[in-house]
Amino acid sequence: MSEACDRTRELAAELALGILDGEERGEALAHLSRCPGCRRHVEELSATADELTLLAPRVEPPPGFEARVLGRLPLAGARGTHRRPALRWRTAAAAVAASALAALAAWFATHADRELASRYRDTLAVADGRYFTAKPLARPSGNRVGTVFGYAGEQSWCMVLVRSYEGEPAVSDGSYAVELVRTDGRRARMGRLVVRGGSGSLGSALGFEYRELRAVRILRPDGSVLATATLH
Amino acid sequence: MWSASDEALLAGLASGDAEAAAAFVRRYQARVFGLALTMLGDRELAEEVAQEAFLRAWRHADAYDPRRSCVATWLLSITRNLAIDRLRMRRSDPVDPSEIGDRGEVLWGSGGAEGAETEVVDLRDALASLPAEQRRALLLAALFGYTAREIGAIEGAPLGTAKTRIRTALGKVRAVLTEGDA
Repeated sequence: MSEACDRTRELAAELALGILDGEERGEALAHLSRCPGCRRHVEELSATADELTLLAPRVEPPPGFEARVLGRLPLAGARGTHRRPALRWRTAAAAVAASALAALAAWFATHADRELASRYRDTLAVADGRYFTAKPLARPSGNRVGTVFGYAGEQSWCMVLVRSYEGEPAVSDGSYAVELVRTDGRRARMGRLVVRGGSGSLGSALGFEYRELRAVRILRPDGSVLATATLH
Repeated sequence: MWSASDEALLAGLASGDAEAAAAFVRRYQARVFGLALTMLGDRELAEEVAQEAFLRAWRHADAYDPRRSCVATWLLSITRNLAIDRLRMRRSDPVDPSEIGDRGEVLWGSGGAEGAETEVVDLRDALASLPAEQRRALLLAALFGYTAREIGAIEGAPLGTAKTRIRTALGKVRAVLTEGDA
């Protein structure tokens, strides 16, 4: 362990409890972004810190609380609920996906980190999004070939990224059909993914609700499945 | 719906299912509101935070990882973080040690969370194994969002001592709970 590790371990408990601020917080977070060992340590402490919240007494909220919460959620077939305001949909540009992805990846890496979580929320808030997920794209053998990112919002979209992974066979260069499989079994063509030098990307808006997207599949020219990502 | 697992209700909430969302809120509202009220000491603010916590749970349901924590802990950690944000905005007044010194002790002791869930019993046992000053420091941080500096002021201890107490206490509680799992 380095000197920076020692310093971060000293601050790890406060970070896990969410009570570290300012320079110390920035210093610890910067180290965590580079050090998987310290990140794991903070995640373990965070799990314990989170458990301490179970000690708080249960108190029934004021009457009408449940209805007020439900009234703020856009629920299917709910009584007295409202839909989100209409959204001005802009193209799902790869750059947007990439910056959102960076925030998301960092958010997952340091589970307890409120600052990054807040960036994630801000990222979603820009386009009134509900959530943003990333699922592995893998061959039937389990070998990873890429990632599918899904965004659920007023206009949902998904993006397929293929790249090479160390020790895994890369996807051969070429043009591949990409297919969306819906939860009711219907299939739709998403577009063509061009792979060059082992990597490629394809993004598209969905013409249906994101929660109806079960899987994204990359097909070989003969129609067989090269790789699948399961979203739901 | 009432017998559905926590995870199933959360999945229902995420997908916008009205019945699952209502059951989810009913199942957790007393816990979420209780924690917010404990931390903020103000019913109006606590309701705002509790409502926001459920909205965040809905927004981030896909990020919930059952391998890391149970649904209750996950939801309560969202609540705690929101409450800490509010406390940071509000807590500009000087701390009065006599008013809050024992707040954590009350929760940890017999006046705390009712019910005898295994997790709570285990937590109380783990806390009981700590020296009182470490226990107070940890509870003031975990349940009231006080920083090490504030805890030092409350306890009349130097900053370094407060930091050490928090760190040692959380490490010990983790060790005791992990031992129990083994």
